[in-house]
Amino acid sequence: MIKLRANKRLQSTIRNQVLWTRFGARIGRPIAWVTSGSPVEIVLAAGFIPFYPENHAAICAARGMSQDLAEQTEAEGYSRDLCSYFRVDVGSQISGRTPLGHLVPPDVILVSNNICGTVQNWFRVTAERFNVPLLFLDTPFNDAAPTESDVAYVREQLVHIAAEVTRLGGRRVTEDRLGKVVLRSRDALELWAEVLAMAAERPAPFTSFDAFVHMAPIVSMRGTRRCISYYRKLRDEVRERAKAGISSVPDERARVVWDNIAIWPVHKQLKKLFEQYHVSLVSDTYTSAWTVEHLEPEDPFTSLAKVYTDIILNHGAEHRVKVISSMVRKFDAAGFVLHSNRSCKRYSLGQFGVKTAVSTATGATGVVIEADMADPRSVSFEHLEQRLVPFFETLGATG
Amino acid sequence: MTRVAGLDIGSTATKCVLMEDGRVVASAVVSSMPDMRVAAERALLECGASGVPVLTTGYGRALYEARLAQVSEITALAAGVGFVAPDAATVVDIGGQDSKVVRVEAGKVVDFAMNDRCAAGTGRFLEVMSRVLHVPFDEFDAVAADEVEPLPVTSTCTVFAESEVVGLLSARQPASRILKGVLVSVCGRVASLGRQVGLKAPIVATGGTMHSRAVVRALSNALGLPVAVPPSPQLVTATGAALLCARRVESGAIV
Amino acid sequence: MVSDRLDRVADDPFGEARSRAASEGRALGLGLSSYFPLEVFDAFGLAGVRLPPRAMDGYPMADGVLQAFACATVRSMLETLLRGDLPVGLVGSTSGCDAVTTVPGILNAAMPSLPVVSLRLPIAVESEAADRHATLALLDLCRETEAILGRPLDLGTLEAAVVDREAVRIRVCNLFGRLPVRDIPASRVYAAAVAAQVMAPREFLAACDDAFPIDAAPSGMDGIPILLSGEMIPSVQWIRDLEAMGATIVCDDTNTGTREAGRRVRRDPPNRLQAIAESLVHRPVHSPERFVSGRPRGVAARAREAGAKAALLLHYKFCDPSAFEAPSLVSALKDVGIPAIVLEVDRQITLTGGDRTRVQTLLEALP
Repeated sequence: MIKLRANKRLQSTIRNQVLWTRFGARIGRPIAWVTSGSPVEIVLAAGFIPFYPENHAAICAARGMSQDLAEQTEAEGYSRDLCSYFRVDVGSQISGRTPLGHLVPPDVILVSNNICGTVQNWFRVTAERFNVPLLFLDTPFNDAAPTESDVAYVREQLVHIAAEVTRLGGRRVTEDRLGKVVLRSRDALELWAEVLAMAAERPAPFTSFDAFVHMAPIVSMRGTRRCISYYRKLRDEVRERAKAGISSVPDERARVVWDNIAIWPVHKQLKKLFEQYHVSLVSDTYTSAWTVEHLEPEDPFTSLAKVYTDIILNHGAEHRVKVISSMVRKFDAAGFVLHSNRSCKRYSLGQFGVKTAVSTATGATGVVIEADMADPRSVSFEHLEQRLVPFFETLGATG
Repeated sequence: MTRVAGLDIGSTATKCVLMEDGRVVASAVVSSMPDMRVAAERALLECGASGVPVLTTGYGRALYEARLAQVSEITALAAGVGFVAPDAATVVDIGGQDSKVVRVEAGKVVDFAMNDRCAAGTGRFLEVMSRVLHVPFDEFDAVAADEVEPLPVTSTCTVFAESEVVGLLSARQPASRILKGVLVSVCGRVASLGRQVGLKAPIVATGGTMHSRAVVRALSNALGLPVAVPPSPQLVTATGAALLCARRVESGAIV
Repeated sequence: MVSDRLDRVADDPFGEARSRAASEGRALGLGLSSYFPLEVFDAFGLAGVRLPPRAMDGYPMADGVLQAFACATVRSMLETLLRGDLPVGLVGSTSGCDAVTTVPGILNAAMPSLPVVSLRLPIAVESEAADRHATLALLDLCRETEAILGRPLDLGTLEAAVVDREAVRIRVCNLFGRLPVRDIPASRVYAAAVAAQVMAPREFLAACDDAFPIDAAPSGMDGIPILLSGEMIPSVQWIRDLEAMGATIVCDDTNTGTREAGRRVRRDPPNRLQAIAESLVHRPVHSPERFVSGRPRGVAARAREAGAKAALLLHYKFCDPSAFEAPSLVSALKDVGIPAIVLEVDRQITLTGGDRTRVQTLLEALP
């Protein structure tokens, strides 16, 4: 099984991004903490350096630090039933412990509730701890598509946010400057989409396990030139692999689609389990959440308003069923896995109905597994194995 | 001569303490099953406390109708610790069904946290594991000796942890190491509970589980602080109830 | 006795909802969240109701469509709807927490014959655009409802409904306002608050007149004064149990009580729907954004003014907004000398043994 050369480059890219952030802070560049669904293009256009606590929490979980950090937050009286990304992030804020050396504090925080309602509260707590302004983008939840008045409402807020960000120490965000950043986002997103699409090849040269890690730059460096160059190299390498018929999983026997965030505490073990059973995870709703539709550099505020209201988590169950079903068809999958992620109500509640609907629509076999994206105390690898192995065997894949 | 009794009616065991002029003179521990009222009477009888004013506490405190008064087991625990270990600032109690951490000062409650929902972090977790590992509670000290290295038992949910332990056993891991890991896990949960109220030294531990030195050591490790266990750790709450009873008899108030 | 009517309704709200639907010959318009404007359902000729958590041994039908990590309020409501033992014509939900946001999608899949409408209120209430968006969202809801019911919204009926519901909220607020004076037991006030969400508005107001005469003699409630803060109370019996333990509630900050009843629909906006929308955006005690800096300090100040000596924070397991706010609320109360504990409730609608131990310890530890 040939490893991706890009894996090494990912490590150095992340490291450089961290160094860049720390250096920037030291020379007085303002820092913005942002959620993964925030219009980062605006803070970039204003000259802020963005930092993503969600990404940071995922890294902490993958490095085995999350339980310790979560306990710090719980000791302050926050319930263990709250989102584990929140508990890990605040634990890192309280203790100062992070795999990135040290946390760079924010000068401003930008939050959008298009991924969930938890972030409103998480970043209120954070804004109070650091005593910094909180800018909030309210993206109304809708069943399948934003209405015109939704887009108008969001656009109005975006213009206001751009003015605020300038007032709080940034450069003026002109449509021209913003358009340039939007164009860079679009270029990177198109390359990322190409990479993800190539998993439709048989065998898949790149799986969601690869995507879960290689998505880091699209989340935390989107809008920069470094991001475009990263994905161009990745796209070229995956293209090579596809041409050569290289399979990400040895002797691919079954293809499966995934819904929800990765299970970071047992990420490596889970990847090995899929490989052991020759199952390729060919597509997922999480890494493909950053889409290219609507991004128009010519009308940046309107297009950002459309993009950020059209995130998969901002739509209802029917839309989710459509997305998963179309993934199953497009990537020629025989089965799908729904990760019932205890930390994420917005992503997880109602998956039982989704399972039935997708099976009915596509004939594919579904399985629900219970775990958590970052809290190892809510993850049992034994349980995951007990659910997945019979599921794999149903698909004709044996270990 | 003031003779008073404190009755701690727990869901598994009922404890009685008889005090005479401020000294403990007798005690009794009986099973609460199947009938707590009957258990209460038996405990009082065995203690020689029939006809003496009684203050009750514990889960079944309202069931003994001939009581003078009743208080919560946390209030009673604080009073008991104020008597047996007056310098203590924090008491950690791991009971059969629940665990508590109480910050105390001069026999009064300053702050408290209790876990009565989740079996992990209580004696019940130890009971389940004792069964799965085939190691009875009174053999814990021999099996989970000081020099044994614990194997991590990461699931704190009792159900998940049970499968995890079964998995470890079938992978031929020694029961001694798994048991050590179980103790680390339980005490870790209790330590988390403790951090909610703040762990201030000196720390005292109570409850029947503290009869095992292995448990006490694991607790001390998890808290990162030395833990003292008073003689008769299972009777501290009932002792507190007896003290409060004396105060009530003498002054008419339980303050 | 007529003055027991409110208590009877509060002790069997589901029975009351059924008999109301039968006697009025209307289907129920069920508000899924505390802030769904029932006056809109009233205006469409439905019997607008909001129901408290239901005592159930489990949620076997809901478990088939919803994972267990949602609050008991949502689970019991979903179970009730799936059982079909209430004559519900339309369900209304508002944007709020993530659990409630997923419910319409779950219902559409599990019970396609039961129509659900969603009021997509803005969350960012500090923005100027919020009011406009709220009004548009309410208009959308009304259009959807017209299409489902096959009848238009009558503005005259809407006007009457707004006036009636406002009178109900004001009456409920007035009752809660009397708590520090201690001339009515809190359990009777909470019973009224629950009944206000189930009974037809005018019937409720009439029953209130009988139950709470202006010149009633003081009731001698002399327990330890406390603040009760939280979402919906599990049941009126829960409050009675607290009172029996020696606690007297003198200040309320719950969804069942002043958080919902504190909403005021202003007379000046010419458009009634706009007035309703703005009343939802500008709720004084508990804004849509929920976690607002300053709210905990405001609650603590009210509690101190009312003379509270201790506080109970009622938290439903899995309720995110409440869990996020709890630490800062405990801290704000501590700052004004009011010790607080969080009571976590799940399925049970009366006090558990553990709850009693915690409450008793809190009260016993007071100087």
